[in-house]
Amino acid sequence: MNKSPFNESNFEEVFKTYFGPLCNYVNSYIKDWESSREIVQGTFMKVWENRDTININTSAKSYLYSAVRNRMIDMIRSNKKLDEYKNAANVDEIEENLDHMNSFVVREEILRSMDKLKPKMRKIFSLSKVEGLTYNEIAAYLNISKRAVEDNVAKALKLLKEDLEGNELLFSN
Amino acid sequence: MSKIKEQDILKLLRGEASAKKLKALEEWSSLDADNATELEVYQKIYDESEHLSSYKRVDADAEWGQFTNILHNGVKEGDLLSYFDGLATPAQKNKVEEWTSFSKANKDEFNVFNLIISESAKLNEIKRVDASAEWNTFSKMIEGKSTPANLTAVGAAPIIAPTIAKETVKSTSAASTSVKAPTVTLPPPAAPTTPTYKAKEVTMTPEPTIVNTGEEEGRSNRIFMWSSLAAAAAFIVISLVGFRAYQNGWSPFGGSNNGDEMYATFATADLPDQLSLSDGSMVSLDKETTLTYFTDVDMTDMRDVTIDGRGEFDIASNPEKPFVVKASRSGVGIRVLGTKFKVRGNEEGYLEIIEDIEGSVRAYALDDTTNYVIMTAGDRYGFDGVNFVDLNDVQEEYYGSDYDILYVLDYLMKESNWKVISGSEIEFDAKGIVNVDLDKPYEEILEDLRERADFEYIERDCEGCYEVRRFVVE
Repeated sequence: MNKSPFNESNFEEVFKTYFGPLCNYVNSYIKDWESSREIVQGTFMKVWENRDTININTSAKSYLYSAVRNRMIDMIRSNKKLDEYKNAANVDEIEENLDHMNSFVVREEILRSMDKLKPKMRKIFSLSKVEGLTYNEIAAYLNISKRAVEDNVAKALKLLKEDLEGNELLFSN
Repeated sequence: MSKIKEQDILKLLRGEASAKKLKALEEWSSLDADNATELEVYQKIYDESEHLSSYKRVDADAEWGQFTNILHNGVKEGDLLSYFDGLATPAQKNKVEEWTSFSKANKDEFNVFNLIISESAKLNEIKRVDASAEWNTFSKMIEGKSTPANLTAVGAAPIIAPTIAKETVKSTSAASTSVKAPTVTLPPPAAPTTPTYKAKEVTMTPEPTIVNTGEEEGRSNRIFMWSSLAAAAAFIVISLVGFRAYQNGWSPFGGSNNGDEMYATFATADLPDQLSLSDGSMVSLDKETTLTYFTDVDMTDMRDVTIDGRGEFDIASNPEKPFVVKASRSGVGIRVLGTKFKVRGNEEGYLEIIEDIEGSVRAYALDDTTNYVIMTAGDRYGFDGVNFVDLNDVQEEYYGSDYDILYVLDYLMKESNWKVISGSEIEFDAKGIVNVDLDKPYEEILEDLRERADFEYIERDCEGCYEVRRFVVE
């Protein structure tokens, strides 16, 4: 039997988990942060208003993703909003790219895990894997050995893996 | 019925019980199911004990170690990192690929590594959101306690994800954000509240937006802020401009002091003084210090204060409203993430956490909120006016794996092309496990082992030749 994945007790958790990824997802298409935020906030408002009557057999994430995507497409198609979304992607592109949203959930979770790393390790990992600096560049920049850079990146990777491998958000739809 | 003794049962099992004892035992076992079960257990122990001499015991821990070694096939994070970096040697590449195809668990683990590395490369594209601040805004909307106008003012601006204080990695995307009113249809307000509360300016400098982890009501946080004398010239300009602007009705927080009096200024002269804030926080100010502070905590979305000088803060925790201290002299802000801590500046003008009980704080540059660091227990950061300088010592962590001692000995001999040998009278712990990095040259491994085990070796007559005399672990 279908039921609503939203209720008063879990709504805050759902909101806090997905608000950031959804904003980033929308912003990746319409290139306007405040409008993205507005679309996501409006979607959550609708979900809140209808939380008791939503009957679906998918997850909260899938439902929110679809709802936000549809709202974004409606906004882009709306003549009234056309000027504001002049940088927006083609609607066909949005409709075709169904897996895009999950990447933002994954990235948010990686960032949350990175927050748990020691500052130095987080910095070295960021310089390497986020900024794309070579080990030699990082070693020179931080005045440490290349070996220390490699060890810290490998250790960070291990800690991130341990933190994330049980995280259902990474692999669930 | 007479009491049954272990000796009676033993006699029964050995077929030596008298008829009287036999009858008594039969009565005893039929009296209660537990008795019958007990007798069965005795019987099983007696029967199986006869076969124990031919049963070979296995060291399950050692076997597990070997099994996991097979599972991992010697693959470590360093191998995987080299593989994903495209720097793996052919041997490493084969090792990783064999390991990945060995089991579904390995394949899954490989996929997680792959996901982390591939998605990390895209983290610069995303902006982080202060989900707690957004939730606060949203919860006001659904409670109908706020109007669209002032909801726009508290909307959290995005920040750039990586917390790296480096000019080349800074972003300007959150520099100044124009906030639009949401177009969602709001439910009718349940009860009009604070009608005199003026919305903040529509165009505002974004605050650092962070996840406020919060803590229970009533906990207190202590901050000790100090602004460096080195920045005194900047302070004079900032404070003069700030004071004149404030007199003319401008507030450093985007609000106004006309009529609603959301913020007030308190200044000490030649003596230190204390101030109690409306949220229950206490501030101890040094002499010649000025504090601009919120007058009514219910009228602000964020408990923000600006200090010119030096002060110690004892902050009442409120997860709903982050407490932000801005120090205009040093150009640094501190935002409490719902933790208990104390910070101060040292003589060089560096910020430094000197007492940290739990959690973390965010320190950011006032003129560029995307330039920030998160400080946790024991962290030391400086701020040179442009960048945060990491004063933490780099921990060159030892990155080894667990291996059987016998495996390590065997590895050393082969890796050294038999220049390393085990002495004929070597003392070693055959079941011992040692944590060591075998990716290093064998002579470095020998050095490492001196620190990581009770390990002794001597030089032999040829160059690079050694004899291991002792290899024991605790």
